Amino acid sequence: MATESCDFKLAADLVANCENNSISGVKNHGWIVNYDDIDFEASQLDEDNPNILKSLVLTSGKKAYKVYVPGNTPFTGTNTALAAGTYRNKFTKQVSIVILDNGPEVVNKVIDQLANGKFVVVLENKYSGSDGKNTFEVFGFEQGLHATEMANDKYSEDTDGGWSTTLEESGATKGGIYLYNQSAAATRTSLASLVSGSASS
Amino acid sequence: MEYKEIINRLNEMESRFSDGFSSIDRTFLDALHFRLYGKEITRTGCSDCYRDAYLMILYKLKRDKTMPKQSNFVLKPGAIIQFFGEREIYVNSNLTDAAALRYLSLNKDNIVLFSQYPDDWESQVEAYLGNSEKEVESEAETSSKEVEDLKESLAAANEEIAELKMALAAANEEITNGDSAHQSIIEKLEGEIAELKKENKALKSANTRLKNASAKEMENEAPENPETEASEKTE
Repeated sequence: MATESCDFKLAADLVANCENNSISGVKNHGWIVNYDDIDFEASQLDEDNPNILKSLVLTSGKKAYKVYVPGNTPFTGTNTALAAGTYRNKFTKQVSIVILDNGPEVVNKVIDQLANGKFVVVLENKYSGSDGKNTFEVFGFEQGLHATEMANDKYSEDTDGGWSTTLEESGATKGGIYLYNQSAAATRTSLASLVSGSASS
Repeated sequence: MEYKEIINRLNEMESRFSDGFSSIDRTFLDALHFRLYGKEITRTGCSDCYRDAYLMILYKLKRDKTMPKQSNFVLKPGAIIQFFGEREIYVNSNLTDAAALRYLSLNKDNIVLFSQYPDDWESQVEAYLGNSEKEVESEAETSSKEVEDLKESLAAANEEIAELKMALAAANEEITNGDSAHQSIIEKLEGEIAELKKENKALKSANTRLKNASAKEMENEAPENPETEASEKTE
């Protein structure tokens, strides 16, 4: 058995981007897919930078679903935090979603599934970075996101009787995974094809 | 799903056009819109956008009377093809067999991105590669022929340049001869001008002499008592 030591060494300066100032927050539209629908064989990480997901591909006949949260601070509570480990530190990622709707169809098709399923969410950062590679951030690609909180408060002024949910991925080795395929425009087209599902259907 | 089935489905959805489409209808329209136009229905937050999309799709299908021809290759959801340095992004709505084969010819492992493909896709890729090689060879042949043609035309151009140089030298000689002839004419004319100036000077002095002589004559012919002449004039 070969022994190998993992070196964790910095490879770039810790600086601010003065030409293209970073902006906090994410945009109102996101995408969610069932973790098990992902074709991991066809989904490729960049060889040079494994924090870039070059393609997020689903198995035939599967599709992604849109997530829309209105307001000035959509997906509030979404964050990534360090989780200290005995031998290796990892990351815990949380995605907070508000569903301003309710009813049997919503509960049947969305809420009950969110409560028990495993998912991957793609959010669009307001700050796209100088090269556009920061535009689409992927949560849950490694371990999958699962629900840790779900509530339907009838008198909540925030959710207006809808649902609030928090999805969490724990044990992620990467602090961030970004979906980027040659350009932001091409990546957006790729996401659109995820939503449309298999075109032959 | 073929043309008739899709039209039937759209006709069945017509009853929900005014009240609003169900989520299943919307999903169907999303997929159909992407298949026909290669992009999402725009402004999906608005209330009329699915109605607009429905009418657009129905109008297009009834006008075309068929579904657009699809490639034998179908990409998996999320998979796209974009060749390095090229702007076009291929999704299922605009994917062609040629684009798929070209992509697979770069790396056969890319087949994992396709959900449907012909059984003989590998031989098609080989054939595509063979055709590409032939194309490259024929392009090379054409290029070498073009080079030969260019060499010939270059030689002809060099000959022409040599002839033109000779003609230029002859013209220069002529100009030199012409210059010496001009010089002699100029000298001759300058001599004539000098002679004319001399003649002019002589004429001027003769003229002066004549003027002086006529003035003297006038003085001699003047009256003896000028006062009497003046009084006569006043009367």
